[in-house]
Amino acid sequence: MIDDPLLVLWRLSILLSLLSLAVLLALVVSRFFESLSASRRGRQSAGLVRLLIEISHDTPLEDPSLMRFARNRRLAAQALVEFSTLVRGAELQQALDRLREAKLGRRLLGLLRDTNRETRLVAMEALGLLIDDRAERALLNVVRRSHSLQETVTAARALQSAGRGPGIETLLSGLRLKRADAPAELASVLSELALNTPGALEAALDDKHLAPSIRVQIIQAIGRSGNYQSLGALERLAQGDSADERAAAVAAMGAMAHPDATRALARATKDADAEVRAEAAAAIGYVAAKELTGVLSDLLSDKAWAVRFNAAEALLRLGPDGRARLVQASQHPKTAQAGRAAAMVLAERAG
Amino acid sequence: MMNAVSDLPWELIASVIATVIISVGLAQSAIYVIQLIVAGHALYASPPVRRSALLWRRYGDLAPPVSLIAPAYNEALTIEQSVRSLLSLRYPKIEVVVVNDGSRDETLKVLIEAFGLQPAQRAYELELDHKPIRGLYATSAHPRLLVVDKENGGKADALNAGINLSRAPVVCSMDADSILESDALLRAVRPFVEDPGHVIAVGGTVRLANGCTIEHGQVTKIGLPVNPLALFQTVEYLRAFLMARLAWSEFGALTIISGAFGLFRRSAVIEAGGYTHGTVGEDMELVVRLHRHFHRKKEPYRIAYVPEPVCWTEAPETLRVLGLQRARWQRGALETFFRHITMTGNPAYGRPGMLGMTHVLVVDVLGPLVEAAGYVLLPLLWALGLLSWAWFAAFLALTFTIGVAISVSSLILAELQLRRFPDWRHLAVLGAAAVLENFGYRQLNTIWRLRGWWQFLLKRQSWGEMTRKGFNRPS
Repeated sequence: MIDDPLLVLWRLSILLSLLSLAVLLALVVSRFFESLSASRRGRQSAGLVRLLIEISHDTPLEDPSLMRFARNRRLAAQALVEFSTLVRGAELQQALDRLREAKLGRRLLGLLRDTNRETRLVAMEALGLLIDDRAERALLNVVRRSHSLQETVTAARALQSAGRGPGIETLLSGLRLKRADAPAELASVLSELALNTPGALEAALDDKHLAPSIRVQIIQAIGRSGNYQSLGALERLAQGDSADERAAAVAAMGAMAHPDATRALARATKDADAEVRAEAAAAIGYVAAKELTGVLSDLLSDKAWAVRFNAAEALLRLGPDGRARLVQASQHPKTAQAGRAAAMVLAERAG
Repeated sequence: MMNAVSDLPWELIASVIATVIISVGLAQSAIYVIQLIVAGHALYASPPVRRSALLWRRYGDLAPPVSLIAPAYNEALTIEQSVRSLLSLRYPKIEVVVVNDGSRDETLKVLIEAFGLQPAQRAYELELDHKPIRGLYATSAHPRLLVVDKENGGKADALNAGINLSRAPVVCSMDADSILESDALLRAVRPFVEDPGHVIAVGGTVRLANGCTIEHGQVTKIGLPVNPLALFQTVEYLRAFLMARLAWSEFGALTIISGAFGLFRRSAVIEAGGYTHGTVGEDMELVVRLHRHFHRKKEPYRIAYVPEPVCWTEAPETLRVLGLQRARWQRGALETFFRHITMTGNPAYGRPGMLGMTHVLVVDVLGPLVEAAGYVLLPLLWALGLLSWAWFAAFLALTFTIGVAISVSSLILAELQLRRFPDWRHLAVLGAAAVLENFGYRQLNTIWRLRGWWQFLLKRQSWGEMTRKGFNRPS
């Protein structure tokens, strides 16, 4: 009874191994012929980048090199993006102008619907370089409609790099769709928005539908913008319910280094969350709030190492008074932990 | 008495034995086939970025700071070149923490003289346990380098010390004698950049440097080893990294990140208690413990894997050294499995418990025992006429022909998706090795793994008698 399935297994295994060997043989043969074909090698990405460097000067549109470049859309997009990391200024612009004239951008639009994610991302980056109205519309469409946060962010970056960055409302309409965590790349998109449209990001935080990680990145971007008008909003956020947002708000106040943040920072040193206290200790150092020297001395005895370490470093940033407090803490510590933190940071800085 | 023996239903007993062996073999083969399909899909849907210029453009200014921790033990001959190679890695924010784990040779002296190191101080907390630190050394000429001199305690101990002293949010654990690709860190941090809120660890593909040309601590020309043992291991590494680990990471159930190269969120490792002393499989143990810790906390997390080759290591080329290595790996897997046995098949631990640990049970725990039993018993029972040819054929299918199909298919996958073989000759030679490894090498591996089982049992009986795992890789 059982013999048949067992023999089926045996025959199937032989079939599978023969099939795999046949495919491998085909690949070996294909690689062999490929190695004989110089033109094929030229179509590889590195070859295309070299080609692009060559054709960036006064190449007629019907030049075979230019035609060859545009033939394989995926490789062309990849080579173009790579080329943009190697060449800058007038040379890059000249090459981009030639490729725009050759309508490469239109050919790349189709890649935005490719099944391969990496191809879609590279196409967005390439379209950012070859930007025209059609490319802008296509990229804005990705920002608004894509279900992938990564793609939304990549499209937004591509638009920003072309000086046609999406407005905050367009970006938010895309971000609201996603519940995924924000990629780190979102930080650069938000930073540029914070610089160009101060106050807009602050208003965006009223949107409760945004994922927590996106909210944190918005707060960080506000901090990097250096817009003092946002201090009030950061103070409010530093007292919010989310520990991550409180920590980000306190760090943002530290990044702004404005003395008006002192009271909020003093309050944050008493936060229940160690990360918030650690950020507060560091921020006091950046703000140079000398009136909080005593608070920092107390933080040297905090139960969390990050808080103790940041407090010791912040005391050093406060100048001679802070250093004197640190020396005192190392020689006559309130707790063993405070003494150790003070002594170690002093020893490290002395070196 | 003789009658009692002859009255036993021998054919039934033989069928039961064969059924158990074939069932475990089938389960293993099914796992491999699923891994292959999942890895193929993953590589197609989210392929690696081949050109590092694209990575630089995308992530250059966003990559998180990384502390690269390289434990070193008796590596006076190679340490200077290894460290120079690490310092030349292309990564925006990196510090290299070399931990001299109580070397008996002149490793520390070589480092001090080669880099002009001076005694230094650094503020740190003893968040993870390790043997006492004897001194710290640094120099303003190489501000990214910190050398930690500590008492000997083993690799796990050295890594814990390095983690305590590191400042970056991401730590990279590696062997001091491994060779990293110049853009290895940029490739490996990609999951940390794309999903910073969840990713706590990332494994990378390790490849064998045997036969390659190495200049100034970099692989400058990819070659194939002449030694057949190293050649078989090249196929084995490709299969293990490209197929198995990629698939398990897609499932969210990756249970091992190679000790030769792995990135971890520092805070996550400290939360989970760092590397465990007293195990030879500290790399696997940490990953399983991270799963356990974050599942207990009910905190979403991800352990990811990048399929691009990021690290090169040298494989043993003698039977004796290879046997010792494989026995040690087996012992490490068993130690981790039995330390976390309650996770196995336990829905409370999600996919790592249901899939990852069950896979360890089938492949690493039962695998060598059943395979060895199969090699001995099935031919014997067939020769005695107690089993039909069909049973024996099924056994041959599971041990040889399916093995060929799996190994060759993983090569096909590597060629189609990564194209990392320099030319057709490499592909052809590796194809031949993928076939031949099933006839002899695989069986030797089973013997070495049985030795690992035996050592594991002896160790348990002798209550923690600890053999130190050296860092100098035999070659």
